[in-house]
Order: sequence, then C-alpha cells, then structure tokens
Amino acid sequence: MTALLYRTFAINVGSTMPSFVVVLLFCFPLPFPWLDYLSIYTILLATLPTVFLLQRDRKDRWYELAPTLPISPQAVVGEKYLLTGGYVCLLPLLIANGQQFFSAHLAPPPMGRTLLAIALLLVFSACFLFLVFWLGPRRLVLPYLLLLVLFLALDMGCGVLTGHPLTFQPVPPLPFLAGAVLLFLLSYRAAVGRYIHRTW
Amino acid sequence: MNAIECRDLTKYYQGFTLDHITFSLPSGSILGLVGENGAGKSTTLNLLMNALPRDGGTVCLLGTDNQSPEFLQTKQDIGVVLDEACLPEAVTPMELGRIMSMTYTRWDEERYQTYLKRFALPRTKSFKELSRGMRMKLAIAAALSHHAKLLLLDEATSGLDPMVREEVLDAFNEFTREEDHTVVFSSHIVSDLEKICDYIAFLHRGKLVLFAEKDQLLEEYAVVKLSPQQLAELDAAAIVGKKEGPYGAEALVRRKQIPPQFVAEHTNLEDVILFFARQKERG
Repeated sequence: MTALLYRTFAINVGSTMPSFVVVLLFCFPLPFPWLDYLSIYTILLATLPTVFLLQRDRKDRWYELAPTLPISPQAVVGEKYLLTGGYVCLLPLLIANGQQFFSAHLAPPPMGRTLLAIALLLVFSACFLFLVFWLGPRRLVLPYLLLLVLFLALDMGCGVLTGHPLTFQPVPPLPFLAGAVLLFLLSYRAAVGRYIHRTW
Repeated sequence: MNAIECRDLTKYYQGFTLDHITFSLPSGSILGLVGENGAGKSTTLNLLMNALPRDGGTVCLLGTDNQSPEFLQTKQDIGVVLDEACLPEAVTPMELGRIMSMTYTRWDEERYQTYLKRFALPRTKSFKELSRGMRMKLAIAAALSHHAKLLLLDEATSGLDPMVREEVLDAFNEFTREEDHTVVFSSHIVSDLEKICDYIAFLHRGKLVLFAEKDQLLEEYAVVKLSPQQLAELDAAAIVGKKEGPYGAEALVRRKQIPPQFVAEHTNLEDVILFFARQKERG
C-alpha cells in the first residue's frame, strides 16, 4: 500500500494534486454556505479529485501494469477507496471549520449537517467506485454523470417533498454515517471481486 | 523444474480465440514467442501473469498456479516488461526506483543504478520526456533489478534501433547466465530471437503451430530451391511449406528427406517461420 500511495503522490504531485490543494484553499476561507445544502458543487468538489486520479491511471495504463506487480488486487482497489474516503470525510470538515473561522457573520453548519454531508458523499463514492471497478476506468465518466444527476434529483426531490434539501433532513446523523461507512466498506469488497474477475 | 507449464490455455474474444496453448519451458532457457501482429503473443503473456482472466486451461509459473493466492509471492521472482513499458508518465527513473523498492522485497538499488548508468538513462527526466528506446531500457532496468528468476518481455525490442537492441539483448544474455534464470521474449523480429533463444514458439492466429528447440529446428529443416519439375518429384510429406513462382519454387523440407541431387540453402529461423506460416495460411 505504501508503494501505491507513493506512486499516486509521485505521479500526481505536479498535476492533479495542486487541484486538490486549490479546492481546499478555495473552500476554506470563502464565506459561502457550501454545506447548507448538498448542492452539485459539494459533490463535485469532493469527488472530482478521484475522477482525475482514475483518469491519470487510465492514461498511464496502470491497470495493465498493476497485475504484473506483486501487489494484491485488494491493495490496488483499496488505495482508491482509501484516498477517496479520506478526502470526502476531510473536505466537509474543513469547509465547516473554515466557515467558523473566516465567516464570523455566517453561522457554521451544525455538526449533524456536516456528518450527514459526509455520509451522503460516502454513499456517492461507494456507488461510483464500485461502478468504476465493474465497468472499467474507460467508462468512468458516464457513471459519474449519472450518479451526479441522481443525487441532484434526490436533493431536489427532498426539497419538493419535505421542504428541505437532503442535508437538512431531520434524521439522526450518526446512524446514517455508520450506514454510509458500512456501505462504503461493502462497496470495497464488491469492487475487489469485480476487479479480480474483470472483463475490461 | 520447469519454469513455465502451460496446459490448454484458452481465451475467447469476439473474432479471435487463443486456442489450447500447451507447452513446458525448462528453467534456465530463453523462449522466443514469435508470430504476426494479432497472433496472440501479448494475450499469452498476459494470461501467463493472470493479468487477464483465462477461459480454460492451467498455468504454473515457477511451480505455482498463477491463480492461487501463493502467486502473489511468486510475482516477487518475476520481472515483466510490457509493450511500450506502461510506466507512469510523470515519474522519473529515480522515483520509479523508489516505487519499485517499496514493491519488491529484493529490490537492488545498486544494481538499478548500474543499469541506469549502463543504459545512459537520465535520472531526473520524466518518463514522458524519454524516447521510446529509453523508455524500454528503463522498464528493462527495473525488471532486472529485483533478482527475478523469470522475465516476461512483450515486444521489448520492437521499435528500437539496432544498437539499442544489441544492448538489450546483451543484458538478457547476462541474465540467463544464472542456471535458474528463464526468459520469455515475444517479438516479431525473428533475427533477435535467433541470436539468443533456446526455444521457439510460433503462434499463428491464436494457435501454437510450433514449439521446438531452435537448434533442432535449424537442423531438421532446410530451404531448397527447385524447378517446378523437381518440386513435383519431391515427396509431398517431406515439404513443410513452399513458395512457387513463375521461374521456380522454394520449399522448406525435412533435411533427412532431401534427395542427394538437391542442394539445401543456408536456412535461418526466419525462413523456417515464414514457411510454416505460409503452410498454415493455405490450411
């Protein structure tokens, strides 16, 4: 796993990684209520870096090279889940804290809403990564766009039906987060199976 | 022990089938896998590494079934060079060395640096900035630097100039000086294979047409130039393949069955392969 993470760092430090940092710097100080609704922006900010990493891997033909190395399929798939999971958990926390420090005139979102946002991003990422390892990295754009449209529709649907967007729903956030983490882990297990028996 | 044991290896694609490939390769030998473009050479190598799921057959590399959990450990002893190297574009040779040192438990940094120097590879240029020859040399340097026992090379010398090809073939020859070191080398440049290989496997449209020791092939077969009348006199069973023209014919014939009045031409491996291919084309 260390080799994979170092590889990802080495190949992305000059290209994709600055985009991660720019996103974080962009979200942190700006007094924009990013988490006051699960808008398309939050999903894009949290998940586009993963899309960039996967596209870079496709360009490098990584999934042709990886099976020739003494690296387990679990590690190959797990690296993406680790990076994605870490980023989608970190970003909302940073946004919420940033609003607290830099946007004194705006009340930061309650922790419950932040945790709900993390849960929804984990669900999104679980679905997306599973589809990538099932269909192959050449087809990652279509599943990503379809999931984006689906989550946006859910968010808007919630707004129409209940009067509140997804992250404003009066659900206890911790059980929801626990469920999202479980789904994320199950998605990882399933993705490993699809990767081992891949037809792409 | 055989380095590779392959039984009825099969893979189906739409419009192409790798059809029941069977061979055994003794340790310490060099196998040249030859065939036209699209014959199935890369598919065979990928199936040997279990990089592609197979549809039938069994494969054992260095005594381990390549679908068993133990094969992950066996990969420590296998070096692979894919066509066009397939290394990340943004890494430099130094970063590649670091990645490989974290991947292979027996990574030998000193040996890697020696190869970088020998192949005159710039240490801090990214992969995408290297020429094709340098990219292949880098991939080969990495494959030779973790004390592998088996090398699988997919078109490792294709597209390289003759001087670079010579350098690379020398490196493979040095690798096989160890008794238990084995190389499988796919190429459609038959002259490269003739220089270093002990065994030749000829793939044609997904079928293994020929698997034999190179020297035995050259001893067993010879090209004979004939007139149409002489061709008609020759025992058809002795002819492996023939090429007929308006002024005469050439035929690949079993040496033992060449009549004394006919003269065998100097025959190289490329001649043998071409005639076998021609015969297969005619069915």
